[in-house]
Amino acid sequence: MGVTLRLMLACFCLLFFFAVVRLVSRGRLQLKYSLLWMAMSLALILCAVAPDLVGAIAKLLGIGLASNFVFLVGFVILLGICLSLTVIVSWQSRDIRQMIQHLALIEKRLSDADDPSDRDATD
Amino acid sequence: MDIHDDKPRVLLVVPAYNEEGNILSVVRQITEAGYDYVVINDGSTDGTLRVCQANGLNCVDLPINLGIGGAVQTGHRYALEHGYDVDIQVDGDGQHDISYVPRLLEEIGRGADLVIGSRFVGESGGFRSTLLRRIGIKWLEGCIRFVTGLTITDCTSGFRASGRRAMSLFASSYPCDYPEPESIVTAHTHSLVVREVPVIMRERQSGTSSINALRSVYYMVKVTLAVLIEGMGQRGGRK
Repeated sequence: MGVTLRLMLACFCLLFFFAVVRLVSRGRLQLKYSLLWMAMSLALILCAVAPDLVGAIAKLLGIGLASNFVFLVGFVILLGICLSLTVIVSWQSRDIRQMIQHLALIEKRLSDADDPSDRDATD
Repeated sequence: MDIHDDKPRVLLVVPAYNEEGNILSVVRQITEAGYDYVVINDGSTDGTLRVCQANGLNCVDLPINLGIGGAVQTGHRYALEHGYDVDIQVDGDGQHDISYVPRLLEEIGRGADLVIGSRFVGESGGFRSTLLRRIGIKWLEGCIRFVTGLTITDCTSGFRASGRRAMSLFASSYPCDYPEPESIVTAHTHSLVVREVPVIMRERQSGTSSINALRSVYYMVKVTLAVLIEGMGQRGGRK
């Protein structure tokens, strides 16, 4: 890796890292969801700072090109983030469903209380 | 003062999504038969809610459309909250014949937790759906038999009665999109007793069914997977 590339990569990762930190500090991103992003940018900074280390690990894994190894790691981390997002979405849709049901049942109870002639008033 | 006599308290749950043309006659049939009921208006975009309010129907209004599973689950929660012993799901489109309710109740009385009204057992007649849908139902029947050993001939039937144990199970966990086949497996994995009784269904009175031709392949894939995964949960963990 050339020096320019390493410098660019490091700068970009630092920028990205601070962007994530800023989002968290402004309350626009929850800390627990930011951890994966921070880990990813730190890993990429490591790649830029110590390309020899990356090359060594790549060789160890039988990957010829260090850049391919970097791509692989980036890809796997992105996959992980995507999967965790869909898990979060699933939680949220379940929670929202329960809240809507709860709201509807409470609303029903309120309207029953307004109208004492309703048969469910005596329970 | 809660003395239990022989007669269980029964609630008919009527999930309704855009059923302004059917809902009133369905509810009339129920009240004529003398049952308690609750309509779950599943965020309808037509005048279903207006019809319910104008006629003073007992109605829970979901502010956002949750799909049939979410609506039915609301019914289970309502039934539990109000101390009913049995709730019976009756579709809001008039397909289900209220006169079969005693048959479902009878089976609950014999110790079943979940009783499915089936078009394919016992006497024949009535509306049996298209050939393609019957093939789909057969396939799902096979899947359910594979994971549970149960033979449920009409697993997509929405005409079903739940006893207290099934109600509280479904109130806490109920599949949301196309829940009928999957919930049978859920009940079985929680060692509830699932049975079928023969019923005759009519064609829907007006409006269109919620499952159209384009979506049916997606539906089959999803439900098959759901049934298999739900069944695997049983083999892995609980007995």
